[in-house]
Amino acid sequence: MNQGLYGPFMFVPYYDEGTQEQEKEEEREGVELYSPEENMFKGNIFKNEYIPFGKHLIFVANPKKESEKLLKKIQEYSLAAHDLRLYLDIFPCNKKIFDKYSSYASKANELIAEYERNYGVLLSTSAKWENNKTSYNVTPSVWVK
Amino acid sequence: MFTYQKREMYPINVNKKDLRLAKYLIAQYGGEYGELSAALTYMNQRYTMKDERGRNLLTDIATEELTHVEMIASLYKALTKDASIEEMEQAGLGCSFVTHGYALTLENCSGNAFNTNNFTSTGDYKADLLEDMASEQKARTVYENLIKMTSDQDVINVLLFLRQREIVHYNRFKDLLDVYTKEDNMVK
Repeated sequence: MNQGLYGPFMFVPYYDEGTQEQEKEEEREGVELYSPEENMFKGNIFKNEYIPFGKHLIFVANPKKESEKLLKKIQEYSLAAHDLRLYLDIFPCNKKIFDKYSSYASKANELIAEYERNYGVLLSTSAKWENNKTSYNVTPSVWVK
Repeated sequence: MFTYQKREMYPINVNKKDLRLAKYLIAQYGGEYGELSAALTYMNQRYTMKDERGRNLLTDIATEELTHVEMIASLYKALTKDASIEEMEQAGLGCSFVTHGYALTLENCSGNAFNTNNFTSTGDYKADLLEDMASEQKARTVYENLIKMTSDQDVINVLLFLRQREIVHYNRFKDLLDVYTKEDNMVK
């Protein structure tokens, strides 16, 4: 439990979490996670939460273009981070999950920055002035194929 | 505030036109158990959650649901790409075409307009979370029914992904409800 988060004189979190939350967190300790790549095939990161639908399976195609490969990695790490964040919303004191989240989130940010350097902006705040217009105009919207 | 990333959460690579399925898919866009309905419900319930845990969870899930709205729209656009008026009409989208052209419509698949009448916000966080758990299960069922209505693996991939996300959301709402219930019972 990271008590430092609550300041030097407050060793008790602001809500009375009792023991239940700790128990719940310990339960979760044993739960395995899918790798970021696997979690795109399953749709979630906690292994015990995946419920297949009949015999259906997700097939994620391996992209050929470099830009699409990078985009796929961005999707993998962002989804992994996002799924862990939903968990951390409820159990904010789980340091183990937080560390995992933190590493995936930074990785996603690095990949986004790499994509933007090479293939086009994804965030309007990264836009540059190119060919007499903002480069955000050049990136196609997601439904335009 | 919200920020936007101009990229897909999950790759949508659908190349086969299927207007029949597109018409049914609208259920998850402007339908009663659809993604927009979920996004707005959670967004609206945030303000009466017990504490930061509930507020964060509802904000993050509502945001993800908005991304799902976009995914459904992308899927619809892909399924109806280059559709002729005759094709639209044959698929039962003739009326939609007359009123909205090729635009997406906020309707369920029977053509009833998007409805906020059954959005829940009781001010009781536990009642709201229970309702949200039910919403996620209903959305999961709609995805399963949609999967049964197609054989296009490219579409099934997206629907399976979205279905699994509903399961995760259900689990998170349940986790939070359990935590809140235990804490509230202890206080007495």
